Amino acid sequence: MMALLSFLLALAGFALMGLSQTDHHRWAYARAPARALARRLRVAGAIFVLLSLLPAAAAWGWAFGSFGWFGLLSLAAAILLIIRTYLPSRAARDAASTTKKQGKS
Amino acid sequence: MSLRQSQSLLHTWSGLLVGWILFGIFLAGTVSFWRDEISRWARPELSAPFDREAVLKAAPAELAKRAPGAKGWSIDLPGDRNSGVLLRWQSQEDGGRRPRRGAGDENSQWLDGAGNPVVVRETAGGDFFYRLHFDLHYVPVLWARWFVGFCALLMLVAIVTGVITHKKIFRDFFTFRPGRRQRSWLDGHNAAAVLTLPFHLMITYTGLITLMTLYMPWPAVATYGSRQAMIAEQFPRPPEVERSGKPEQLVPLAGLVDRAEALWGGRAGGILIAQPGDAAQQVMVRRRLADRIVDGEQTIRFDGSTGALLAGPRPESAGVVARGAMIGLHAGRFADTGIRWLLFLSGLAGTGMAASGLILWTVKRREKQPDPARPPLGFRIVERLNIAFLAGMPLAMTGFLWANRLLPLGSSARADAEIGAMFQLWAVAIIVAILAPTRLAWTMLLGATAVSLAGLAIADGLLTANGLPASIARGDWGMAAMGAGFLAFALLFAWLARHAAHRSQPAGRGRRVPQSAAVPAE
Amino acid sequence: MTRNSAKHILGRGLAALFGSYALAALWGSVLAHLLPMPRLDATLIATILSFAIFAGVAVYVFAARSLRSALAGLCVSGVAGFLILRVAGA
Repeated sequence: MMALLSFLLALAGFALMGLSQTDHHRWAYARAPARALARRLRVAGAIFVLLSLLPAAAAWGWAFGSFGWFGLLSLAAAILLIIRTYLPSRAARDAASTTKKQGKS
Repeated sequence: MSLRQSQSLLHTWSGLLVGWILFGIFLAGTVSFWRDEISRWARPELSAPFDREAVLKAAPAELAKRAPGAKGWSIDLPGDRNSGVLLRWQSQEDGGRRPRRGAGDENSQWLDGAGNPVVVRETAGGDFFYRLHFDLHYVPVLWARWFVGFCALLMLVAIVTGVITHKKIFRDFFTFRPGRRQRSWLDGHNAAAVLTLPFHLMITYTGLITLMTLYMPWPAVATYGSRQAMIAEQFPRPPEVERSGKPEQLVPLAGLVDRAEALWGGRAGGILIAQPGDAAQQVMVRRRLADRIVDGEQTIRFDGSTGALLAGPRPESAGVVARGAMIGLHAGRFADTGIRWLLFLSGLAGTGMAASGLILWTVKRREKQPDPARPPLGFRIVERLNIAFLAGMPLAMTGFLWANRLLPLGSSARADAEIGAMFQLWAVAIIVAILAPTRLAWTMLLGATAVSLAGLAIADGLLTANGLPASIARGDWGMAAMGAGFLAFALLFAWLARHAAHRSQPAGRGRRVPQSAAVPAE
Repeated sequence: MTRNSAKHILGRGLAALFGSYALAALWGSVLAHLLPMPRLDATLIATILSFAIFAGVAVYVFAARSLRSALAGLCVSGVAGFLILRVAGA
């Protein structure tokens, strides 16, 4: 339970940090982020990632927990990599839905 | 040359020089995280759940029956992931300090979890892959450890230089671009390396520490005069127990184990009895290594005739704890199922990192070749070694597992024959890797691995009680995971083989996608 | 000697391999004498740290401007370490 919470916090944190980068922000929202927004996303993401250590320590104790925490971070990052690689970008999804709408009308 | 370029050069050379061995070390080591499960799979005769009281009564009784006047008895207690009990004994003439370890020892007997003696097939089990990753095989152990240590040193350099040379390490963190051959292989190599970077750094550094006094004895020589002098202080040995000649009953072990476990706040992993049946007998109880991160037995010594406590666990100083913690981190014995899966996945990533690095080297150079039909000798050697190791070794490992199932149970030197089967299959794979056209070689070896793994799962289901459906029905998740693992990896290798077969298919993320070459079939 | 020539790489490689090991052994021994803890602990921790020294020196040898300056750096560090070891070990 606690391990799952740690994992979800790490996932959210890395997602926010990823979205702070222009390349990934474009992929998600079809536009570049404003500099202030990018900074806030990065900071918020980092906070979530650091927070995720706490439920890991609760689940496994501080010694095993800090160790297992790195593993959960890697897992979260890997899953985001897969999502980012194989889900179509915002622009592609917009184009697809536009063609669908045109096809219907 | 800029810093990045210089580090890139060092990274490529350190990686290429020992990349195939590193792949083998990673593969065997990663699989060894499931050492207990593989051993359990390899010894289906041991299935009863562990009953401590019954075993602690039955073990000395069985030992007294088989080796009454022995110099020493040894009882290896199971942990959470296995249930068999290994009894060993040592004759009076034996010069060693304790009963010898090793598969196929005549002076040994298995008890199942209920304490009943069982005839178990002679096999190294999961211990084989574990030893393989630092002792290799067929070579003197010292040479192997030196060579593996050398490779580990280069691995450490490869990690550090890889990080320095990676220009956009943060920007590329979530980046993988499939379908673009060299770019995809580089992205894959980076992803496998960076996403699990803490693990790679940890496992490589701690790996060196496990044999650090062998690789770096000089600090000890500087302060103690010799490595042996330091080891004598690090591991003080109590005097050997001398036989008095007066027979005496051994106190019940359960009481001693209870007291030991209370002293540690932990659990017993094994028991050694010196001069059993004699008035001078002593009982040494050692702690289960899975109890904590620090690797250390914390042996407690009792008088075997009276039960009196002779020596509690030795206090561990800072340096001892530091070394023990690093060894413990490397072995991962402390890990519960969740953390163990994370370690295993990280190890797979490391294996993929080594493999993709080697393939990247050939992909990069293939695109630069002046005459693709006649690549230079160095390139051809690397290409063939890639096939021989990256595709050959996994196939060879399945040979060991098949031999465990197929060799007649009572055959002599059976454990060695199982290991021999792996290397024989590897020899065949190497011949294919050298002689066949590269694309065909990749496809055949990867495909054969897929078939072999699927076959193992099916054979287990049909011929043993450990098949996937039976294991799930019993709630035996360890064996269920073995079966599921065989099938999952069979699918992976089938996918890789299919990729290898299609020349124009774009290279994708994966450990062993072979280059769909611009070179026509050789 | 051109930058990427085989001779150059081999030279740097050998210098990195032997130089890193030698300096790791040397400075590890210095640390074993100098660390403020009981002899066994100091020796164990110095040995643990020596592998980091190895990696660091290897990086340095390749990062140095030329093979000559890398070898010069190795020599300077070696002599310094040797002198300190003589003093510390006495």
